[in-house]
Amino acid sequence: MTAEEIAPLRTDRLTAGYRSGRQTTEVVREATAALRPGEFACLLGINGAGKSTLMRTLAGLQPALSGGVELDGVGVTRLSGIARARTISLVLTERTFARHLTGLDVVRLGRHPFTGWHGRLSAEDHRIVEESIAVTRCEHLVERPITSLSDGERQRVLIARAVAQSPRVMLLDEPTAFLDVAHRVRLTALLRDLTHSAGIAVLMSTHDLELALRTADTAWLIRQSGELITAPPEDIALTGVLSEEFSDDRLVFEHEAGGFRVSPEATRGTLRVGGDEGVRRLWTVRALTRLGFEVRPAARGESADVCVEGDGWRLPSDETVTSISDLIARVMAPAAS
Amino acid sequence: MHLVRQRRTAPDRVRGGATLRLTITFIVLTVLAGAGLVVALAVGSVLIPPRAVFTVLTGGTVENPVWGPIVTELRVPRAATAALVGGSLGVAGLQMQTLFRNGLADPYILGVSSGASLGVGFVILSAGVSASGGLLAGVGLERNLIIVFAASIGAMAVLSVMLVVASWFRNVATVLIVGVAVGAFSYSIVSILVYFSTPESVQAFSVWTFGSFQGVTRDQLPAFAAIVLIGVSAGAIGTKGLNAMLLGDQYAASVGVSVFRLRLVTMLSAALIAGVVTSFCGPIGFIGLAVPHLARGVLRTADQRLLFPACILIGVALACLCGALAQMPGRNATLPINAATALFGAPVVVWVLLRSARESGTADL
Repeated sequence: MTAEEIAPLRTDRLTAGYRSGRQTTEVVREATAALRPGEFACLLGINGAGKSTLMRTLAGLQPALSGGVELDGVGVTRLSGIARARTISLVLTERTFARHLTGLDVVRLGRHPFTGWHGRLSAEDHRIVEESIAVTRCEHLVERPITSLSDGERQRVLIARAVAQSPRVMLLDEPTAFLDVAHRVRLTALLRDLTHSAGIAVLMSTHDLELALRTADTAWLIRQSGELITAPPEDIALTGVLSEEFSDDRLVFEHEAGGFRVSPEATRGTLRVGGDEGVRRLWTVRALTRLGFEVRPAARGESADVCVEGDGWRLPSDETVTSISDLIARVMAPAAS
Repeated sequence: MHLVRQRRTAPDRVRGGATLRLTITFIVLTVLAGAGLVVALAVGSVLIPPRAVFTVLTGGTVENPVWGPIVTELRVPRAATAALVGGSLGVAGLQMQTLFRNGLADPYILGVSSGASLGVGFVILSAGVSASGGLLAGVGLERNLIIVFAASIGAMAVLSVMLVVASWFRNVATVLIVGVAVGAFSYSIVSILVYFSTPESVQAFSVWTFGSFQGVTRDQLPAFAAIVLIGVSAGAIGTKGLNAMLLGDQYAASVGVSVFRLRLVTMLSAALIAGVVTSFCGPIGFIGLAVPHLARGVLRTADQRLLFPACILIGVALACLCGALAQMPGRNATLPINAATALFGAPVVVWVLLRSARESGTADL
């Protein structure tokens, strides 16, 4: 790392939380972390872990309980609103819009910290607005009223607005929350590309653990204890804390698979699966697990309850079925009787 | 440092077309405002040919010696007052609608004018007034300023209460009803004050509550105009910040707006406007409500920097027309201004409410 790559966002023993009345709730304790240019980080944690609180504290919209946040080496609370806005831009969950407000109007608001008292945009401002629209690929959205856009389109415009602020750091609070899977993946990929090509330091909070693990350069995990872990997602997965944090009695995070498994209500007993390895075997195990069986690989020489063979499955009765549907019917039959 | 990929898009041409349309729109609005002023000067209980009015204004002599003083002493102050009231109330309405994020907010409906009346009532009724002329006619400049100050304090108090209420209830209709209740409450206190006052005060006060553009005399006009201009200028400072507020408080703060300071300046501006207008002309309804909607409809934009001047021009035109209508041309009687403003203002309320009920339940702007 060269000298100019000093982390634009850094926290120093930061404790974030909120006070209501005399009660103080700490969501993150003594966190020390840094975000580098061109680094795409995902902030993870269960519902209510304090992702939004940490985001607001990092952005200087809310005071830290103790410790500090530094933007380019300066304490965020010591910066003026304008100076802060020139370094850090946000995409928030706040959804207040006005009639007649077009996508272009919204993107132009990103230049707010750079214009004079009257807010007139210079030629340079217009150029940056157009570039931001181009890199977020929302040219077709900016002429339309913001109220007429879908959730995904609106998020894209709000990201264009955040880009137009020419930030060093961009924080996004659950930008994918209301999107379907395809849009979620597309938006996340867009953000990651932007981060890498523009050299912005990006922190995005998300509920989509699996997608975050696949795309983030760094995962920021808020543990229920209030500890903040920052590391490459694979390192975090290997420590096993993900299953500790995200599993409950019905939902299990399998760190072998890097995904969630919904545990069924009751187990139907154990099945030994043998035969060919590969995709067919993998989906067989998934189907049986979903039905509530505990699946074990059949040991060598041991007779298997389900044997994956060629295009089908052989059962102990030597009967062969050719679809998962038929297989399910067979293995469930004894359980029903 | 900024981004990547140079890309030339076509919006330069689009922007050029939009600018032309905007320029034409503003020229039309300016002409309308001018026309409103002309109508306000030409119309009155005494029929004076427009040509004679023009002659008087340009310093010439006319055949009827009474016409000169009528124009200079009555019509000029009345027309100027109408213009100042219309332009400033349009601005105050725009500010409040943006601040409350509520298309039905205006000084009259949310009880801010009643708060101002309360301030006026305290000062006037505790001292007693002569029944002749407007409420402030018989008192000196110093007293006028005290009354304006008291009215602005009253307006500010109600504005603060209503902002707290609006932060509790997102529902537009709820805020509206609370506003009406706060207004009624203020008004009832004023009524109680009136009850214990002299008969002359009572008469002057009840005339005043109808609203009139005739309450400002020629001598008072400069002071009235100065205070109105201070209020409007303070509002102009806030237009850039209010644009950012359209996306919500947090977004505004994230682009460097000091939300608290902006709120304060905007409220002070709106309260000063409501205060000075109410003390001189009585509580004037519906102009503050309708003008911003007309401006948005004409310009099709949410940009406060454009809506602000548009509201001034449309407000001037509308208030002058209402003033002329209230004069009942050629008759020796005047309607209350509020009767004229309600004629077009009330349908706007219904239209906005229906639109908000049909859409999300909140009358966003």
